[in-house]
Amino acid sequence: MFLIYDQKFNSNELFIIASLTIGSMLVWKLPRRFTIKESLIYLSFFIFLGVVFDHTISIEPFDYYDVNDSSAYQFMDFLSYLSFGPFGYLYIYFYDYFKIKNKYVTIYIFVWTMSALAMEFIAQALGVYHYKNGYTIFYSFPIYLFILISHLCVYKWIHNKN
Amino acid sequence: MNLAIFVLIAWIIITVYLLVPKKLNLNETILLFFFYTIITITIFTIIDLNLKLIQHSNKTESFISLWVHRNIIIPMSLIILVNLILTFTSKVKKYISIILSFSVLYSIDLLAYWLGQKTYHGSNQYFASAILDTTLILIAYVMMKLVKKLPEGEST
Repeated sequence: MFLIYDQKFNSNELFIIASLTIGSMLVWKLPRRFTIKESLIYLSFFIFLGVVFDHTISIEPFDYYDVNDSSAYQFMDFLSYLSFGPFGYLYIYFYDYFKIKNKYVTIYIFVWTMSALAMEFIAQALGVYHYKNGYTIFYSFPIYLFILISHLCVYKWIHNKN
Repeated sequence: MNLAIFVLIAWIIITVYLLVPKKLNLNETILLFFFYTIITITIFTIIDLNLKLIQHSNKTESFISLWVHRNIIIPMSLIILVNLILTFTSKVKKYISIILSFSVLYSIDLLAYWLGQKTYHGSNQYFASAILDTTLILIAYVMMKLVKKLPEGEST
């Protein structure tokens, strides 16, 4: 079902632009730890899985939520996916920087999962996400866990190969 | 049957990928796979949700086959194509691999319509599919050139 939630430039657009700007600045300002290609992989992994998951469960036959002002795909939706990039990069950056030991990995992933849920909660409150058909933020918990574990697997795979 | 056919095609494509010579390193392959998937999904969604030109089936089985088609078959076919382009030095062989990849993508696209995975709501389904596949191949080539130009060393 096609729905329009609002047509103004307001909180959801501002949240996306602010998170994308702050995230990109952090990525830009932090001292480099990876090669350009590796950095691009860590930046694009979250965008990749964000797009894959969103375009799987947010469209029919599942149709669990809409992103931004309407059910249609808008430029702001694309920017919202780009804003996932710095989050994924920083997740790997700090894992590498603090050299997290294996026994603390589950705690590290849990902390980032909770941060992702907090970000989603704020985004949802500001109108970025509109849940439908019984979907709640709690269903995002296993999705984030899966994404963050996969991201770490990709990092370890690349790191070992290089 | 719809899903089984597309999973089989995906399996064949992955097998072909493992067999072709690889001129892209691991980082480039992963990066291009991400880019190709993001671009394919974006194009498919715009055509489907916004333009309502090619709409996907709401049946779960057909949707999962579309998922396999969109997220595995198309990006992996493009990865195979750019590896072939980089492998061959002769222009004729490069063009043959482009035509071959286009034919594969186009045939799979027509199969998807035939199996009811998606429906076309315009005037010429064959032309629309050809345009879509040509666009994907062009984007794949440009992205490969851009990724190949990136420096290998530490970022500055």
